[in-house]
Order: sequence, then structure tokens, then C-alpha cells
Amino acid sequence: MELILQAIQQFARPEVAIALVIGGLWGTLAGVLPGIGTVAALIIALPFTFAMTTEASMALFLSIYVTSVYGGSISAILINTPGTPQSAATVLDGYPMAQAGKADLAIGWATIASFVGGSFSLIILIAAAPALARVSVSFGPPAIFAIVLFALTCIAWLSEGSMVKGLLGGMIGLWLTTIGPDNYTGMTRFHFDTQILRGGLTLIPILIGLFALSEVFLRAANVGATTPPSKMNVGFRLPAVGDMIGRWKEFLRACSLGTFIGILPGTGAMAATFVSYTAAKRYSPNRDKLGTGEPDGLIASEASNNAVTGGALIPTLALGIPGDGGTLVLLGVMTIKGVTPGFDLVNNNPHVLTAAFMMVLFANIIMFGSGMVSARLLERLLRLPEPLLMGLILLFSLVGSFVVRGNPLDLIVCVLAGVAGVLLRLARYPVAPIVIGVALGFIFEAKLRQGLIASRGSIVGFLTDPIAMPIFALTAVIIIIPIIRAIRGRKSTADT
Amino acid sequence: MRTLEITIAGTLLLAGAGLFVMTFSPSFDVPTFGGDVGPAFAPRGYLAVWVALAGITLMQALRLENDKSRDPGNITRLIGASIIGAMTGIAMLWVGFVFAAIPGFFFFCYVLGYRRMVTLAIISVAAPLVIWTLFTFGFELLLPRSPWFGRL
Repeated sequence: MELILQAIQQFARPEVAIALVIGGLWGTLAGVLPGIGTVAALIIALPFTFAMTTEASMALFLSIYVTSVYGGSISAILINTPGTPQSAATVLDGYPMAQAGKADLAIGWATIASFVGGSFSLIILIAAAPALARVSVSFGPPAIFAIVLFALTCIAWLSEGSMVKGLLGGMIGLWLTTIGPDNYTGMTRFHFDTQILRGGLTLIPILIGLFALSEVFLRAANVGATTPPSKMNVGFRLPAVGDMIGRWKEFLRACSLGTFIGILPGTGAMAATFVSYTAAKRYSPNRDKLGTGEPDGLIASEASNNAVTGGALIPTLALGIPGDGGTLVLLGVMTIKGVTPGFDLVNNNPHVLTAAFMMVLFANIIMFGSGMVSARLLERLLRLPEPLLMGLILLFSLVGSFVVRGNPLDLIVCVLAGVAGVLLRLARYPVAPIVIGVALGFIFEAKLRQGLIASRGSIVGFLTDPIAMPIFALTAVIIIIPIIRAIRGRKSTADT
Repeated sequence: MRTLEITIAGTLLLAGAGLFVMTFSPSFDVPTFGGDVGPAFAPRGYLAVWVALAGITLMQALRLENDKSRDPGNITRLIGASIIGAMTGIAMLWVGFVFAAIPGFFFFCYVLGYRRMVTLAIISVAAPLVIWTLFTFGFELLLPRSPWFGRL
């Protein structure tokens, strides 16, 4: 009770409430506008957090994170273009519903499904994150090393494109963290005789360059590909209560899948959406109508992609391992603000964690409210000229990379990462593993060396650790499965 | 796209190999204590895996058939936007945020196909100035400065 009161004290400040509302509105808007998406929305807001308190920054970011996923459904319904990749499956039933003159009802279904998904995953988050973080105190360096290795492998495995390219990206990210001073010996690595590299690289400029700048550049090649909405009864109408209750199984399935997939590092809402939609195609009583404007399709997509938000926050808050791109930025901001996720957050700052839970709850309520009142307004915003929007993202991205440290190197790194990101994405390399590699690289090397020092240079300590052992085994399975599949595939091709 | 994949895989292979060799240079040979493996251990491990994976990627790219169904969109516009975006960022270090962002924003939007010149000119001046004012006076965070006008 005392904890909740402390959290409310932190939470009830005007700047936190304002940050929540602004974050909610900006997140919804950014989700609606195709090409921005969750990560870019967070990155645009990043520079503002340097002038904000820790609580207000967290409120802003959590609110944007939760609402941006929902915003993508509105453009998916109205213009057949998902505002965020997470809403890709919403197009399948949302747009046909809108074309049938029921855009208001489609937005109503998407809003209620998003709200239920977000709230469901929040309950799981409240139950799981503190418990997981408390257990994490018994994790020694080998266990943490094993978890980070597992997370990196998962991300490479599940990211778009081939696993080899994903793993290669992860290695590039890990290597980037070795530039600069070595904390154990004091030597400076890979500085190439330049002064600016002696301080090392930081996460934010690389993240902004690879995610936001490269996205803006790539969008330039496809500007004008979207079409404005026609007359389809735009507005907001909640479905009948009986209709909603009658579909409780669809809600439960989508929410469970979304939360579970969200917990797995690197999977993200897009994977959850399609897994959930595929499950609905198989188990929904209305499966024959899916793809023609069936509410079950909207529930499958929207409840699952919003449930991912709470799921992805579990490893982020409990272990400091980001679940997706959005939580990666969130983690970066929390670190800058001096909040260390994991055991420290749960045991030394439990009120901050409780406040974070409340923020997610309020963000869900704001999301519901913004959907109710702003559907018509958001439809008008979809007519904003895309080039101007992209230009503004460019400026905010550059500002965001510079203000973190005020270091010119960060601006150069951001620009280089942006250009490299374009080339890599054109060649079908997933960029997320590079950024995750940078985010986890410092802890990865530190735990490896701490573990080796503790075992006097012997690797046996890692392999006999009771927590690390099963995680290593799981990692090995993840690496071996695609290799076996590839060999089998080759054999069957040779046989035919 | 096949050529690009081969070029990138080849470049990554060469870069990885070069960096790997670098970890054997005398500068990495520093004394360590306890069971510490030294500053070269982690990067050497990463780079060894990097080289192996880049080799596999290069082999895959060489075997790849040209996928004509993949449409990257308007490549000229992509290159133009990337060059202007990159130049805007770098120019900020020399002429400051405002003086780099005004032409940068204008040409960026122009390359992306925005042709309402008066509106574009007004927004190109207004947007950087508003952002600069907001950060300099609102948040008291200094953006890159020009060598001519103090904080501007």
C-alpha cells in the first residue's frame, strides 16, 4: 500500500500527467502517419527528455510506446496502408469493413481490441516483472552472459531476412562496443589514431541512424505510394457488448499469444500479429469470413500487437534486455536518466516500477480516449504532405543524436549509420540485431571477463553454471535447427 | 540488388578480416591480471565469427539469382535524399544547426517531390528556427552553433 502511495506521489505530478497525455496523442498520431512508426516516434521525442524529469520522461516514452501501435490501425482501416508494420494484418479485415461503409465500427473494434490487449499484458507485466527481477539477483556473470547470448541469437533468428545476416549484424554491433577504452586494462581499442574515437561510441546515435534516418531515406524512394481515404463513414462506434462478450475466446487467444511473443527478445508485434491472425484462421468460428471485414480478424491483429507492449516490457524492466525496437529506445532513455532496469529497479526503486505500471495503464486509457474523439481529425492528418513530414523527422533525428552528449562525433556516427542502414536494408540485412548488439555488447563482454576472472580463466565455470547451462543448450538448439533444415532442404533438392 | 549484396558481403568480409588482423598488433599486447583474458579477447572472438559469417553471406550472394520482382522504388530520389540528409548532418558541425537545417530541409523536401515553393520556403525557415528556439531557450540544450552568431 505504501509502495502504491509512493508511486501515486510520483505519478500525480502535473509534468507527468502532461507527458502522458502528450505522449499518448503524439504516439497515436505517429502511428497513424505511415512511415513514422513506434521507434521513430520515440526518437523524435528523445531530445525533449533531456529537459524533463526521470518520471516525466518515462511517462512520455511509455505512453508513446503503447499508443503508437494502436495508431497504425487507423490508417490500416482508412487508407489500406498500415501506419506501423505491426498493423499489417489489420488491413486484411479493417479496410474491407471500411469500404463497406463501416469504418467507424472497424475503428471501434480496433480500439477495444487494442485496449483489451494492452490491459491484459499489463496484468502479466505486473505479476511477472518483479518476480523475474528478484530471481535475477541469483544470476552470476555466466548466467547473465548466457541470457545475453540467447537474446542475441533469438533476435538474429527471428529478424527478417536470413539468420546468417542477422547473426552477422549482431557481431558488428558487438564489435562496435569494443571501440574506445577498455575498462579492465585502460588501453584504447580501435581508435585508428583519431582523437574522436578514443571516447568510444554510444547507443543512441547508432540507433537513430540505423532505424530513423535509414527509414526516412528509404521512404524517399516510395513517397506518394499512399492514397487518401474515400468516403467510408469515418468516426468511432463501439460494437455491441454482446458481440464483444461472444468473442471472448478470440480476445483471450490473441492477448495470450501477443504477450508470450512479446516476452521473447527481438520478436516484436509484427510476428505476434501474424501468428495470432494465423491462429484465428484456424480456430475462429468465423474463419471462413476472415479477410472480408470480419471483426475476429481485427481482434486477432489488434489485441495481439498491443499485448506485445506489456510482454516486451517484462524482460526490459526485469532484466534490462529489450524485447523490441521500442523497448530498446526506452532502455536507452532510462539508462541516460540513471534508472537501471532489473534487480536495482525492483528492489531499490520499486516505486518507480509501480509508477511505470500505472503509466502503462493510463497510456492505455488515453489510447482509448484518443480513438474515441479523434478518428475524424486523424483522417484529415493522413492528408499531410509526406515530404514535409519526412523532412521534420530528419531534423529531429539529427537533433536527437547530438543533444545526448553534445558531441560532434555522435552527429557523424548518426549520419554514417543512416547511410549504412540504407545500404544494409537494400541488401536485405536486418538492422535490429546491430543495434541490439550495441545495446548488449558492453554487458556481454563485462560478464564474460568477470566470469573468466572469477574462474581464473577457465571456461568450465560457464559450462557448469546451473542457470547458464540450460540457456546455453537452448541457444545451441536455436543455432542448430536452421542448419539441419538447410542440410535437409539441400538433400531433398538433390534427390529430386 | 545482387551486385549490392555481393559488394556489401565482400566489403564486410574484408573489413572483418582487416580488423581481426589488427587485434594481433603489439598495441593489444597489454599485461592483464588474475584470469582476465585481455582487451583483444572479445573483439577477436566477435571478428572471427564476423569473418566466418561474412564469408557465408558472400557465398550466398554469389549463388543468388537476380530477383527482378523486388522493386526498391525511385533510386535517384533515394540517393538524392540520402546525400542531402547526410550533408545536412555534417554541415551542422561547420555552420551550425540553423544554417545547415534551412537549406537541408528545403532541398530534402524538394527532392522528395514537394513543389509548393512558397509554403516550402516558409516552412524551411520556420521549422529549424522553432526547433532551435525550443531547445536553446525552452530546454536550455545547445544545438550545434555557427562560428558567426553566438548561440545561433
